[in-house]
This record gives sequence, structure tokens and C-alpha cells, in this order.
Amino acid sequence: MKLNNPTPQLPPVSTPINLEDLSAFVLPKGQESIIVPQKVLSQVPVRKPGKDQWFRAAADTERWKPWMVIELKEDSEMYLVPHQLAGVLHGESTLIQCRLVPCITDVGVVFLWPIRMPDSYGRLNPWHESALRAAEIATKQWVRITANRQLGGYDVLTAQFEKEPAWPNESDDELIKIAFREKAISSIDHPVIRRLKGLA
Amino acid sequence: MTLPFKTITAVDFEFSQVNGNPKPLCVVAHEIMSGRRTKVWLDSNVPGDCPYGTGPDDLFIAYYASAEIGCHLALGWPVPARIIDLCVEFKLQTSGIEMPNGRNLLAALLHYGLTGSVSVTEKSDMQQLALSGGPFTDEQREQLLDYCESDVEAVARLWRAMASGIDAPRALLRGRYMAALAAVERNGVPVDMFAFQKIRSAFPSIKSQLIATIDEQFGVYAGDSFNLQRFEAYLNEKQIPWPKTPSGRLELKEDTFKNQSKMYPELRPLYELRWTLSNMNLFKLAIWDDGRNRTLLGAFGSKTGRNQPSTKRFIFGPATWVRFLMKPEPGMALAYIDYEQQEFAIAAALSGDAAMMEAYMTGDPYLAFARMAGAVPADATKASHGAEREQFKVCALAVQYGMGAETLAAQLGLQPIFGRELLAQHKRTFPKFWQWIEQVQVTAKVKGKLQSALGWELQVTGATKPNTLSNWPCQANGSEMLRLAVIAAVENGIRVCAPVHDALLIEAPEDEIDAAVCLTRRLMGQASRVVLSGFEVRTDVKIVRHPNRWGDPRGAFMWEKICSLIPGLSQNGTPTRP
Repeated sequence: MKLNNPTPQLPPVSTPINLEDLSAFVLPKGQESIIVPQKVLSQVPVRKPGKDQWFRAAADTERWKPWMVIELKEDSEMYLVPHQLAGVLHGESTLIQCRLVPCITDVGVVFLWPIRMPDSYGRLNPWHESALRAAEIATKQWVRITANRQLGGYDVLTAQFEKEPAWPNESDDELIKIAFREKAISSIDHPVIRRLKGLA
Repeated sequence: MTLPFKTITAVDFEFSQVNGNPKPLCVVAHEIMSGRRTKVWLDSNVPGDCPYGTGPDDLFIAYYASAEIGCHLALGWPVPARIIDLCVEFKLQTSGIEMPNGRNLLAALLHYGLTGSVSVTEKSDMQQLALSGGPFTDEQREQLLDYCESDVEAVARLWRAMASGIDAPRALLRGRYMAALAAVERNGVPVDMFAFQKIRSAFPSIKSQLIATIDEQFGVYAGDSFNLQRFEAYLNEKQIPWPKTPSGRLELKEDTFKNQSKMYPELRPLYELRWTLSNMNLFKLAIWDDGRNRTLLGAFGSKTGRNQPSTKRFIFGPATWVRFLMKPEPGMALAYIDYEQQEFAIAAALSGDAAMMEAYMTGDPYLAFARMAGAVPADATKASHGAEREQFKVCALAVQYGMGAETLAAQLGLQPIFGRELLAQHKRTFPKFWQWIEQVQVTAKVKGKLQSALGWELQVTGATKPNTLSNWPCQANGSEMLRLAVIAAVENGIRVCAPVHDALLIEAPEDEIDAAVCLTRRLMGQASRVVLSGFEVRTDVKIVRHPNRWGDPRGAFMWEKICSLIPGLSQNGTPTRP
């Protein structure tokens, strides 16, 4: 019982209570016992930004690392391919080299935007070139992109939201791990490679 | 165990009533440490001195202490310096938990596995006997004293069971509130007795006329009966969206009408009419012969710790037109002082959201929110962008009650996408608030309880709704600040008539009301700073001087209609000239 030491004490009732003296009665924040929940990043989609989404791209373009991926368009899936397996897959049309650009939407959804890299001749499809430019703009401003077929590229809209993106604490390596948790190819025996080579 | 009190005394009175105030009949006191017991019959003109200690070294224990303190005030005995109210502490310990037996003394004893004082029937018989006011035979006096003693014994047993779980500093502060509330209950609210009696006696005979008069603008009644098809047609014509039951019928609950009339003020008279017709209990208002509305104020009655007086007996309970019965006595004035946007301010301060605090400090947080979200230009005003402001106001309030996007959109009569967008704008503008709400939810679930700044609690169970958790901190801390304001106002000599949710109704002689208002507002500001670690919630005031009456503009239309239908009353409730 806290009755044996009921401090702080109120003045006797004959003296009007002085509200300025009551701060000692307020429970410290610790006792108010607010627990700060930690958000666990459980999913990182690999996709281009939705046409109705405002997003920002990682400002440090060093983070836009090149990766090899197999893109199965029919299944809408991408598989991460280690560089050492690239030789085995030489000539495979589904194998592409792209930058995985870390992005975040205005409601805090983190995703990796795969933007194709130039081919071996240094050529870049206008759509991919346009995507790259949009991502560059998105490093500084909130951006929305919509496909413009006549233009052969993306229309880029910008907005002046006051808030800055709240990036998660996870490192880029962790983002990649989460994004490709079940879609990383580690050997030539992987079912995706066997299927592409007609061995399945 | 050494206790810092020379005496710890459980006290209980039996009393009859005079004008709603307790008239003490007898008192029994049991000093717990010495076991000394005192039984005194008081039904005489010479009450004598208080037979137990009331100083700073004496602890006074009771079950719902405002009744006992009311007896002290009636007897001219000093108000005990240290009070712990076991009813309040029991309510705190079970706040948020469904209690099938309620929270009276017998229920509390049962909860702690203790034997009761007397049976419910015996208790009711004894209370009726006391309220009869006498004269009492010797045998009846003996019965009342024995009953009073059994209750005191029960309070003492309950004390032993509960004491170890009581947070004394803050329990004593709550006890101090009960003492202040006793003074408030004793004061009561001044009522225009002429108008009240006229309306009460004529009311049944004007029912049909009243329906016809109010229904002129709606056309939803067939005779004296509310007609659902006509109401549906009215809503369609006016394009007012209306909540429906799961079976697709229009929802006709009182709360639905109340909420809808907030969104669509043109519906207010219809809501007031329906309420008035279904609650023809204007006669149950606790208005006494001395022209005051006095009733127990239901201290700590809700899980947020707010008062919960009987809506039938308390003048602020029924439809808003009834409030026009409040009228200062000759030479007196009434002032209604309320915290401005109290819940918004509390949410801003507790979450530490700087943008939200900044919005509050502009004086119009809803317009500021719209401005911050980019929905209105920087120079927008309430006049230039009233519609936008209203949307953002509804959104800000909806967020505090945990309302979803679709309900919000329905409230605004908009498509769901607009509700989603408004909520998204709130999240973008006040991100720290949303983070805090999430923290509150997690804390509640992990710790099994929430706690306000001065220790009021919500026990969280599997049945506690997420919306309750989101809204509870604002309500509970709002309740704390009003309690502090009541204590400070009463102890500084302000005549408080009633605490009303986030406001105080006070009275003073006409030439003193401005000073009383000034002091009360200062104290209310200080109270908010205590609870919110220095953040001040503004107050607003409305003063009325005799012969004007206090009224709620929302009920003005109905009040005028009713008065105009009653012979002898003018439209504003004053006597007509012969």
C-alpha cells in the first residue's frame, strides 16, 4: 500500500488547492506506460509505381544497385539471379539487368522499382529512359507517373507535400532479402532455370 | 504497518431529503485502527460537533462520499481534509469491465469475496424509511442506526480488502473532487419555475399541436405517428444519406437522429421532437420547490471517469430545448465556460504532434488542418471556405472516435473515396498523432490497461473495442482536467452549478460574475496545463444575466414552438401580459 508514504501530499482542505503545485501528482510518462511498437517490414514488392501513387526514390543513387533478374511476365514474377550464374544463362531472353531502385509511397509502402539498364551496346529503350528520369526527379520531389503511349514514355507529375518520406531502418541488402525471400535463384538446379532450359 | 494518519474512519450517514439536499438523520463512524465506534442520531436542531477527526492527519473513508460530505455541509461540520472514496476506487479498478451486479456497495463486497451488509431488499426498505423523513419511532431510529452501522462495517471490511491496491496520492485527489462535487450538488442549477410548471402541466395537452407545428417543415407524421415512408421520401427529396439497419431499413435509433442532426442541423427540430415525445418525463427532472435542479452527478460514472448523471433527472440530460429552463435568479448571473475543442487539443498534446498543436493554437484547428492539407489557400477563412472547413472538422472529430473512411464519407454525404482521401490527408498532416494512436493500442493490449495523467484507468479486456482505446486517452484526460477545475473553482469560492462534459456552469451576483468568470477561466487553463504537461486548452464563455435565460441555440426553435403553444407563456418563456 502506498498509504504509508502518500506523497506528494495535498494541502489541507482549508487552503484552496493550488493547481500550479500539482505537477508532482501527474504520473511520469513511464507510468503512463506507452509502448512504442516496432514496425517489422515483412514484404517489399518489386514493381513499378502504381499510376495513382505518389512516391519518392532513394536520394542516394549509389543505392540503385544493378542486379540480374529473370522476369517471367506471364506469371508477373521476378527472380533474383546471382552474377556467377549469368554466364550459364547467356542468351536467355528473360534474363535482364536492372537497377532495383528503393522507393516509398506517400502512405509508407516501400517497394523496389526495377528499371532496366542499357544493353551491351549502351542502348536504352525510351520507356526505361523515361522511368530513369522519373526516378531521378523522385529523389527530390513526390512524383506520380502515368504511361503516355503517344509519347513512348511516362508523364511525370510532381507535388509539393510538406512531409519527407519516412524510410524504414532496414538496409538495402535487407530490403533485397525481404523482396526476394522466396524468389532467389541459388543454383542451376532451380526449377525456374530448369523450366527455361526445358529440363523440368 | 505505520500509517501517516492518526485516525482512519469509515463513515456513513442515513438521511432524508429537503429540496434534493441531504438532511442527515444519523451517522455511524468506525475508527479502524482503534476499533472505536460512534453512533449518533442527528434528527434534532442541535447537531453538535463532528464526532470524528477531519484534520490533515485523519483519513475519512466512505462509499460515494459526496453524499456524506453533503451531510457535513448540511450540518455545518468541517469538510474532511483527507478523503478516500471506496466507490470511486472500485470504479477505477473495474473501469471498462462489465460488472453484472453494478458498482454499489454490495457489488463491491461481492467482488472482493466479502459478506454483504444487508440484503438488497432490506437496504431498499431502510433507504425508503430514511427518505420518508420521519417522524420516526424509537424502534425505527434503532433500525436506521443498526442499518447505518452495518454499512459502516461493510465499508471498513472493504477498506481492508482494497487498501493495498490504492494509489493514495491520486486517490486523495479524487476524494477531494468528491468533496467539491458535494458543494456543486448542494448548489444545483437555477430554474425558471414559472415556465417549468406551465410547461409541465400543459405538455400532455399540446402534444398533437406540437407535432403538427414541427412537422410543417418535414411532413413525416401521419397524425401523431411517425411515418417511415414519408420520412424516407423526405430524405430522398433533401438528398440526405441515412444509416440503415442490417436488414436495409432506415435506422431510427435516438443516437442516429442525434448524430445526423449534428451533420444536418435542419433535422434538429425533428430529433428534438422525437426525443421529447418518447421521453415525456419532463416531470422526472429533479427540480425542487426552491427552484433548483439538484441531483447526484454520477461522479466517475463512465469508464473514462467522466460524470454520468441521470439523463432524466439532470437538466442537461434531456433534449436541448429543456436547457432554456435555466435562468439566473434576480440579481444573479450564470456563466457557461467550456474548453474549446478540448479533445483535439488533448490529442495534439498527448501525441506531441507539432502540426496538430500548431493547428490548435491558430484558434481554428479545423480550418488550419484544411490549410495544412493544402485543401484551402493560406488566406482562407471560415466565411470564405465554410464547406471545406466543415469537412475537415468532421474528419478531425471522426478520427478521434476511430471512424472508418466509409462511415466518414456517409456522414458527409460523399462517396467512400472522399472519406478515404480525407483520412489520408489527416494521416499525412498529423503523422505523429497516428503513430501515437498505434502506440496506445499496443500499450493497451500488452499492459492490459491504459492510464490517464492522474491515474484514472481503463482495464482492457478482449471485449474492449479498438475505437474505445483510441478515444479513451482524450476523454479520460479531459475528465481529469475538468475535475481539477471543479476542485479549484469550488475551493476558491466559485459557486459551481454543474460540470457538463467539458464545461462548468457557474453563478455569481451580477456585479461579480465577470471576476468569477475570469478566475474560473484561469483555473481551467491551469488545470489543462497540469494534465497536458504545460499545454493550455483555451476556454470560451457565455454569460447571461437575470432576467435573460441560458439556452442552447440548438434547442431554440423547439423551445419557442413549445412556449408559443402554452397559454400564459410568451414565445421566450416569460409570462404573457394579461
